[in-house]
Amino acid sequence: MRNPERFIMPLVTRGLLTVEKLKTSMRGSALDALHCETLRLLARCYSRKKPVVLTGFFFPVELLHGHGMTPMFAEFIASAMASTGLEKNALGMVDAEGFPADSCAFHRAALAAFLKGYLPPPDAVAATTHLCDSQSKALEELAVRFGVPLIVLDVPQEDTPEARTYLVRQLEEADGFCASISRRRLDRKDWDRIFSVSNQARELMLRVNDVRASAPAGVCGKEVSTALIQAQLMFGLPQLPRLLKALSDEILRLSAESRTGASMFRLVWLLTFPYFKGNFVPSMERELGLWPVLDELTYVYWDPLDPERPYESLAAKILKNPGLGPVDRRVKMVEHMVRAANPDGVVHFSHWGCRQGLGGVRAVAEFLERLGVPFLELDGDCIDSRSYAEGPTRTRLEGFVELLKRRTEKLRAPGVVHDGLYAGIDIGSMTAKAVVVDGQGRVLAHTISYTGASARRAAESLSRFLEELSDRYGTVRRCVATGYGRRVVDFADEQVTEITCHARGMWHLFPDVRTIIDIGGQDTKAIAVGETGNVENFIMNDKCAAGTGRFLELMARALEMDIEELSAMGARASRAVPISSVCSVFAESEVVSHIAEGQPVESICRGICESVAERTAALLKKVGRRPVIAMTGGVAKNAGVVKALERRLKGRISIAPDPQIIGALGAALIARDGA
Amino acid sequence: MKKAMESFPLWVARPKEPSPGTLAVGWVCSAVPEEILIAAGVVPQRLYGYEARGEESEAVLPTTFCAYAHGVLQAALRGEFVSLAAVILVNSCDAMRRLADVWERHVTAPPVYRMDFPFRFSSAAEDYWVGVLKKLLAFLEDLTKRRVTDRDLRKAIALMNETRRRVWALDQWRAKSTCGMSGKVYAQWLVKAFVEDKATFLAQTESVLQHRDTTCGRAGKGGLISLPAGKTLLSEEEASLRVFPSVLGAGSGTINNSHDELESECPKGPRVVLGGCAAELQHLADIMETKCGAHVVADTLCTGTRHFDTLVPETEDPLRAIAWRYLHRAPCARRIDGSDFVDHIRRRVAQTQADGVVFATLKFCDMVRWRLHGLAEAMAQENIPFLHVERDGSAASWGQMETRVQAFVEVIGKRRCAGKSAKDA
Repeated sequence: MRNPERFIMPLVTRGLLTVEKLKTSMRGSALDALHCETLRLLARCYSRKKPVVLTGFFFPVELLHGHGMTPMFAEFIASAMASTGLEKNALGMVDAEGFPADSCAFHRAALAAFLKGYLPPPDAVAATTHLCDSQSKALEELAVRFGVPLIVLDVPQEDTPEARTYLVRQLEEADGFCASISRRRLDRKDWDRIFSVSNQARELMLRVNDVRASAPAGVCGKEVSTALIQAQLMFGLPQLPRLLKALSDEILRLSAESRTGASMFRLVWLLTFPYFKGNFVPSMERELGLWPVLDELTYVYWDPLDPERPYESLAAKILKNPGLGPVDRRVKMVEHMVRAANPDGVVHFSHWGCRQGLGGVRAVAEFLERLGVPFLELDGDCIDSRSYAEGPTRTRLEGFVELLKRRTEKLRAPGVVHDGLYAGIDIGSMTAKAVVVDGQGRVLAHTISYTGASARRAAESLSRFLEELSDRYGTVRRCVATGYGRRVVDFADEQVTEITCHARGMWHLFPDVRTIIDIGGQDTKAIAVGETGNVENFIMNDKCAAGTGRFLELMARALEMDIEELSAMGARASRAVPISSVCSVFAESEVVSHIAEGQPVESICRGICESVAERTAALLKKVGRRPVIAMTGGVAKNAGVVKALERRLKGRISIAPDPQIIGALGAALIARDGA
Repeated sequence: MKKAMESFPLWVARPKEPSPGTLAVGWVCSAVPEEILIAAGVVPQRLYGYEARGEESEAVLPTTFCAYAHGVLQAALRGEFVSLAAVILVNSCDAMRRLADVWERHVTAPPVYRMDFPFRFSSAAEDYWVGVLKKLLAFLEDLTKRRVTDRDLRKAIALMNETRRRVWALDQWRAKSTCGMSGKVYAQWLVKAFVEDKATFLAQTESVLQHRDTTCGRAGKGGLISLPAGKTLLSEEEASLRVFPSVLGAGSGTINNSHDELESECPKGPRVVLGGCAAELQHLADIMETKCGAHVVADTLCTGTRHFDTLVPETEDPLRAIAWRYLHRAPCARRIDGSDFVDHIRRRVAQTQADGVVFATLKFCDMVRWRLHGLAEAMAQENIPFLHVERDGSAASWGQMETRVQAFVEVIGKRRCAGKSAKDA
């Protein structure tokens, strides 16, 4: 057998599907019933009793159901594959074939699933040119590969009468094509039937969204969203209304029974969710208490369909998509969801490769800032588990939780004296720090050591430091741990992210600070703080070396000098040789070529410092830079970068005297605050 | 502001201040019909050559957007385009769409005019596209406070068609194996067709071609043959010839002094067709020839020769004729389906008897990257040596590209020699 995988995979998949269907039908919840129904449709892609049409998520499935075909969303196939962990291999294959690796993984994975033979080829492919570029290209590629017909709906970017006419004509054409397969044209009775159930389902979906919006935290999360996303495959099928009604009733019942925990928060979730195996959402919901109650893909944006004017109705449905056209439409949708749910915060999961989605984030962020709703942009990939970084994702989510918590807590009156000592432990990837403060918040002692290979051992040695201190000065009442290794500090009373700790520490030193920039060895953070030192917004860059201490290390090596020299030269130089690359690797090449060209080393150093300053300034802009701006982290000691940044920002920056211990200081102060 | 412009590559074509009483309108995508702008009496100004990133653009547009979107935005944020009355942004891709959003929010002047462009070229698409162009006309009429007549449109069509024919003449000259023109010099002339007004371009190139005809001789293989006298209108069929015809010649006129700058160097390197996406042609062609030793005999860039492909049929309804041309000319990677895109490159290779294709793309261009696989396969099927190089818009990535192209040129050079000696033997 030439390719056993192509033979075995479909068999295995069908087996798994059968098992899943049994499980869900036995469990009996409304969610399971919806999931089971989706799996039934997926199983039809194998049994081929009806023609199977692979579609993009925004294709009007009512048309296909009318002709008795089985639609299947390419995006759903990608997420199903990712949930089993198969996506890694598959993506590797399409990357190797030359398909763009920085394009959306939903579409790449769907392409891969078919190319690898995990599914038999569909009978036809139906794509739309909205929302995004990749969908129609990936689906066209598939249609060409398998020699199957391709339906494409070219969707204009504005809802005008001409746009509707254009779409109506295309829908007529598509209907004609489907008729050639199903051997029948759709008549008024068919449209009546299909639209009737579709409209019922629409009503019920609105109802489900209403109950989600009013449900307390802990009842509705990603699972409900996913069921509703999958449900859109079934608009036009008679079984959907009943399933949605059951779901609505179930949510109501669970809402009545639920007891919301103290720190649980309700979110509106934008773009969509990660589906790869081992993704962070279950722990985000259960451990961190962040519950997405409404999400973008389940927002009902269309009006009821009119069987007297079927093509016009479907055209109107397509053109009303909030993701179409100017981003204002999307912002409006966010506004509706926020007003409906009154969430504690909004999270945008920036799926790598979704250019249309990511391009709109700033507009959404600016809107939410005006509204005063906390906003977190989380980057990652929905499908590709290879790029998942657990630590940084956790830090962002935990930092967000801390931000939300502090909004709801009563503020402690300043000047309250607490006796005793309070300790802060900061275990970073390179160094481990401890700071002890007294009841007045004065620093009694601090220590820095190398973390080494084991964060746990570093924690233990700091524990001994604290014990020795206790013997001499009195008991350490409370201890807070922060940093990348905070979880291994068992003796800490609380674990708090570096974001909150750095903000607290810097605010202690500079009470007027409103924007904090922390450039460390491996990551950069920009934090916006309020009058009381509470975190209002933060942005991190930890995926990319450019703009961090590592970048400076690389460049210093290329110049064969140490960082202090680079810094001093950069500070001295009267002009800079600019570095244009966003990527450290390319930047290194640029530096090397500048040296070869004989450019003065000082100017090259200044160019390097300015490159870091430029990245930093852009990050600061995103978080909203307001004076006073203060800087911490290892790079704060780099005079060249500080000068370049001050030039760029046209103002002075306050520099933390001991940038390395700010995190631990903040942690110690938080320990004291919580006493 | 001048100082701020230093960060831009030297080959950027800066918008000129329009002369008093005229308005200039900027455009980015090759789907914008210049005929309509010219007919409306505005100066079309292509935002040409902006490949860069900056602090301002990075703060509002994701890093994962191509350097062209970033370059244009960075320039806009720094006030480079304030002398323009408007900028037309087409729904070419996700990046351009989001650029329009960001522009509306962060760039004070000039305002953005959003224009849609069909992905398909059916008759329904053409009807829709005509509607879009009518709207554009109305916008321009409002801007200039004057009505655009069919006569205006016809004059503009004639001017643009003349420009296209002139470009083809230059393009043919570039592709000649003896007495040809280097791609670098060709590009310098071509850019004038983008950034100067067309009449100037036509005047300057006319005398140059005349000079060439005198020095190199008119007759012979690949020589230019002029249109039969008296034939001015083109049928739709002739206009639809996307094959660069050897029938249409340069215009006639007075003989000017020769321009020294156009002394053809006639490079001897391997003949290469340049494809992909780039903010402009000059620098690319220069590197290919000066640093890598190729002779760029054709290009399929929309910032290059492909922009001038296919004439507008001079038929009854000028607006519909314009619409037709923009839907039916050699498409970019965006069009559904992608076979025409691939075919155009294949045809250019065949027509110029090129030794290979260099496909230089910008990182984060989804449209072109999704087509790459199909293109590479088509090239392999026909045994056409094919190289794909990608750069991110930074200075260093140009260097990387040079190395790869140089190696490719060496390989195809050897192939050509081997072929020749096989023939001689």
